[in-house]
Parts: sequence; C-alpha cells; structure tokens
Amino acid sequence: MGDYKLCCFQTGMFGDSRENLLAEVRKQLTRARDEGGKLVIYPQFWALNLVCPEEPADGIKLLKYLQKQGKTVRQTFLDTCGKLAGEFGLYLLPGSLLEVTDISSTETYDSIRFQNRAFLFSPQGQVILEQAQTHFSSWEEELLFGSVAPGNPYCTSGECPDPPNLSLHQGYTWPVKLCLEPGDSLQVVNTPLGVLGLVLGTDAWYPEVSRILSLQGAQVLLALTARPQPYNPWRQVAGMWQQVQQNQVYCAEACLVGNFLGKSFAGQSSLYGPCEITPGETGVLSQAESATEPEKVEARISLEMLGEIRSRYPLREHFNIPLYRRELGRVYSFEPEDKSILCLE
Amino acid sequence: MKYLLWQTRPALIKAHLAKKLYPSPLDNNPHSENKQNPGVTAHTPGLTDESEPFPNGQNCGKVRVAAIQSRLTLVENVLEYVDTMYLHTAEAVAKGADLLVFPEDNATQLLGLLPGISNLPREANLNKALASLGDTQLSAGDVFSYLTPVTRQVYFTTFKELARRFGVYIMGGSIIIRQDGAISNSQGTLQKQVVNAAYLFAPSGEPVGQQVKAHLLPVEAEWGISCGCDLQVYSTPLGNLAFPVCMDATYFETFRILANRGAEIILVPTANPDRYNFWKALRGAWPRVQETPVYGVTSALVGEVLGMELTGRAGVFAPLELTPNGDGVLAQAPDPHQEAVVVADLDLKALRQYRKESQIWERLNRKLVAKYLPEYY
Repeated sequence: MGDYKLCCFQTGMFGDSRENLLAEVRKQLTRARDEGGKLVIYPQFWALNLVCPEEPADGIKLLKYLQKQGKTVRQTFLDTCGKLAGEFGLYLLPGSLLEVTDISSTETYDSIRFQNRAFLFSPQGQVILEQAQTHFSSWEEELLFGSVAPGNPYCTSGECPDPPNLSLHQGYTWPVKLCLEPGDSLQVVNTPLGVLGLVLGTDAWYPEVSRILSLQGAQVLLALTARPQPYNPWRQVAGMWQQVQQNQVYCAEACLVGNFLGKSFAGQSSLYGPCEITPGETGVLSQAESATEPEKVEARISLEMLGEIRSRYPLREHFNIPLYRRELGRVYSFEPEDKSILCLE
Repeated sequence: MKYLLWQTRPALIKAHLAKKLYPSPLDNNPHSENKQNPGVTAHTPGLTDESEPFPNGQNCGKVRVAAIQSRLTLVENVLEYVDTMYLHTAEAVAKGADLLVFPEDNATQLLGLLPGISNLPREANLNKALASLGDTQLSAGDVFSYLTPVTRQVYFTTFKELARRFGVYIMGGSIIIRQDGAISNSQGTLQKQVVNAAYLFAPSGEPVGQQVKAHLLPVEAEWGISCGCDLQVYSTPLGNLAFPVCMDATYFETFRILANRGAEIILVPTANPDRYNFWKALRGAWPRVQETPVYGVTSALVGEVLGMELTGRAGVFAPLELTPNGDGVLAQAPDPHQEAVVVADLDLKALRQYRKESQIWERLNRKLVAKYLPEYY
C-alpha cells in the first residue's frame, strides 16, 4: 500500500466519563475509516484517558493511582485498544501511557520507576510496536512530580543517585524516590503502510532519535507531543518539521490540547513531508487550524513519491562517515571506531 | 595562466585597496576591545567542560556580526571583485561589525577572467555547458583546479588586506580550489583534491583558520569536488568560531560535533542553486541552532550566472528563547535576490546561561545514541 490516508486527532484529556469517551472515540474511528483512513493517532498521554476513571488532581496522584493499579493498567489499555483497532480495521496509536516499570525499597525510602510508553496496534488488534520515550525535559518532570526543592527525590537519568534529603510528596506518607526512566532502545516495524517508527514527547527535539529511526528504515514517523502554553509555532518547526526534512520521511504529529494536571497545552497537529513533495514546498501536507481546540487532521501520503525524492536528492549518500566515526564518539561518550583516519595534511 | 596571474597580481590589488577610505582606530565601535589580541588557537574542550572558553577574560560577552549577501557576477577585471568585497566590508564595519561572514563560492566571480566563459550556453548544469565546448571530459572541477593559482592570490590578498586595514575578523567565504595536500580516508589516500574551502582572517590580516566543506551537494560531486573529513573550532577573542560550509548545516551531526568541541558562533557561508522558497531555505542553520544551542550566521551568494540561479537570505539565528520575536531570528536580509549586509549582536553570556538552563546536552541520552551510532550510517 504505497498511497494511503493518515489521520491525527488533536484532542484534550479527561473531558468526559470513560463510557462517553469510548463512544466519542468510536465515532471518530468510524469517520476516519469511512473517509479512507488507514492509520489513526492520538496525542501524548492520551491513553491515560482510557485507564483512569477520572482526572487526577496532580501528577503525584496520577502516579500513585498507576502504581496502585499495577499491571491491570496495561491490561485494561491493551484490551480496550486492541478491540478498537480490530473493530475498525485500522492501525491505531492511541497516545502514550505512563507505566510503573520497577518498585524497590530501602530502609529509608521506596523507589518507583515510571516510563512513558506508546503502543501501535495492527488492524487485527495486536501490538506490533512498543516504544518508550527516551528523553525528558524539565517541564515533563514538573508536570508529573511538581516543583520539588533542591535535592529533589526524582531523576530521569535512569541511574538515580541517592539524594541526601528525601522530601515527602503529597499523597505519600513514606519517602519515595520517583524516577522518570528514559527508554534505552528504538525500534521500527515493517507494515503494509511502510516502515513505521514512534517519536514520543521531547524525543521530537532530539535529532538523534529521528535519525536512528530513519537509519533503521523508517519511512513514516508517528509523533505524539504535548507542549505547555504559551504556544510558539516555531517550536514545532524546530521539532518534527525539521526532523522530516533532514531525514526525508513523512511524519504525523498529534498534539495534546486543553488542560492536564494543572497545565494548559497547545499545538497544531500536522502531517509533514519533505518540502519537495508537499503543496507550496512548505513541508506541510495538512495542519490543524487551531492550536488550542480539538480537531481532526488528515492527509494522503505516497511512499512512491518519498522514494523518488530520496533518489533525486540523496542526502544519505553524502553522510561523511569517516568524520562521524572519528568524532561522534566524543559527542556521545564512546570510543571512536577508527582512530587511524587522517585528514588534510 | 601567466597572463592571468600578472593581471591579478597582489601588488595591483594592494595598491588599489590602499587608495580606499578606512576608519581610524578611534572610529571603532565599543566591541573593538575584543579584537586587540588577535591570537587564535584551535579549541577542543567539550561542552560540558566547566572551564571558561576565555580564561584570560578577553571576551566581553557581546559580538556584533555581519552576514553578507553578495551578488555573483562574472568579472572581467579583478578590481571589480576587489571593489565589491571592499564595499561589503566597509558597510559592515560602518554598522559596527566585529566579525564579517562572506558567502560560499566567493571567488566564482573570477571565472569571468577566463576568455570565452561568458559565451558558454546558459545551462543549469555547468558540466553540460562545458561539454558544449567539445571536450566531454572537462568538468567544472577541472576549471576550478586550473584557476586555483589565480583564485588563491586574489582571495587571500583581498581578504588579508581588508581584515588588516579595517581591523576586523573576516570569514571570507569559501572558494573552490585545488588543495595540494593529501586526503586520507577509508577509501585510501588521494592527492590534489579540488575542495570547497573557507578561511578566517584575523585583524592582523593573517589567515588563521581553514574549513573544507565536509558534505557536498550532489551537483558538486558531479563537478568532481571532494569533501573534507574534519571540522575545526577556532578560539578567538570574539568567541569560539567554526565555519562549516553550506550543505554541512543540513546534517545535525556537524553542529553536534562543533558544539561539543566548544563552538559558540557557527558561521555558514551558502550559495544555494535553486529558486527561493522560504521553507526550503530554512533547512540549514536555523534548525541546527535550535537543536544544538549556538549562534548561527548565514551568508548568501545570489544572482544568476551561466543559467544557474542562486538565491538566499543572509541571516543571524539564535535559539528561540534568545530572539525578541521567539522565531529564532536576530536579523535577516529582506530580499533573497538582492545584495544586503545584515548585522546583529550576539550575547555569549546569554547563550551560556541558556545552555545551562535548557540542559539540552545534560539530558541527551548518550547511552541510547551510543548503542546505535555511528554503526548505523
């Protein structure tokens, strides 16, 4: 299937009861399918709508709820979304979900690790790709953990040092160390819709993520983003728009809007392609009109056209591999592969 | 060739420039205190290095840069070229610039000195135009190689003189020349490559830095040009400077490597052989500056020569948070077809503060990246 329609739902969080939400989702998926859509995506964190009975007052309450529910959170989510994808015969990426990945205890505190994960469902209702967010920004930490004094008992390094002064989070009566743990791998999946890769949250602003996925063969990146207000359209250009340009891929970016955990979110969901194969050479196939209101955005993409632009303008053929092999080790803290490479003498 | 060399002799250029007007030292702008020590050294600290790039306190934290948008016109007399470079320099200095950035391919004008060049058919592809002369083996690279002795003496004489007489740093743009050294890479050792190289001139007039373009345009590869395999950062009293050439800024790896080596101001000379489109033109230094926090200064060569249209807007870029409109732009030429000199002030202290607060480098998942790169390329 070299030519098909992608749909993004720009939407908010916890607007209604779970039953009403599912009824609304069914309407959206019906419309997407009837209009020829093959793949539907929802924004960052949206999957939490499906597993939490009501909107938590703050990030700590959300995390505590997820911790308490344990593995039933994942099972509820997988059952619900697998059924939806199978019922409508669509590829479905229903936002991302915070999951507890590890709980451990010391004599003085508990340690709880979370990851932000997304799951891509096939039209048969199977999970065909799972991806954890690999980079976090300070506002994402603040959203979930709140503002914490120096010596804060959370980290995102994945290797949490013991902080000297553990403070009590609201809702916890025992000191806890909360970790937002970055993912340590990136994968793509080969489907009839092309090779797909997932980009979550802040990963959209780290070029290494989209580069690795595209080098793994990704033709279409599915990005789930959520940025707090104030909205700056240039930040989106600096995110997935430019990842698309430098990697010659397509991308569907679904943005969270409205309020969530006390913050207001904004973004214009978009479908991007290399400038050369988009109307007016803007790099945009379709974009939400509003940055704050729910909206559906869709566009057709053509893998054949993508192949043409890649061969007509072969950016990858001009990678300077000897340079990268020698220098990138210094950037990413690993031993350079080939120290013998020389340059202009 | 001997005739061309005589026609473009350094004495002629120097004598011509000696007749021009220059500001007296008292006319210099307040930033000039940055330039008193013209010492330049290769700089190699990592970004996470806590040490100050200027331990002796030379850097005052602010630099006024000028990005030059120059018209490509084939010249029949070398002094036309010298005059153009002088006028751009004089305008930039009058606007208070400490550091001037000229465009890519900034000696292509000198092709006009070759007899018959202007009679070539107007082909967007220079190789095809040359083939019309009857020699299908002749490539654009051969022509640039042949002209190298002339190009070198004109370019170096002109910019040495301008940097010294105006007392400013000048990145003279890039020139396509034969490099009589060896390039060793994974494909072996190659001699006498034709490369696209840019040079930095100190206020003393000395050339103090060189950068060979490391990523080629497909058309340059067709011309027989070779790429370099190194990226340099130069520590100057103005700040840590680097100047990758045009297409190098299409690849995020370039800016990651340079910033990790300490670059704070990255100069990008460009010559874009395409009709202007805002979004396509955006795909160079602007996004690189956003993902790797540095200042970016882009110069542009514009005009139409031998059927090839060049467009672009010189500009000065910064992370969104450091620009008044939040658009990542400090200054930009208004017209992609006309000449312009745009200036902007770069606040290095603000950049360092932004880097510290944004934690972009600290939060980079190096373990993840090391797992996949560079093996995947």
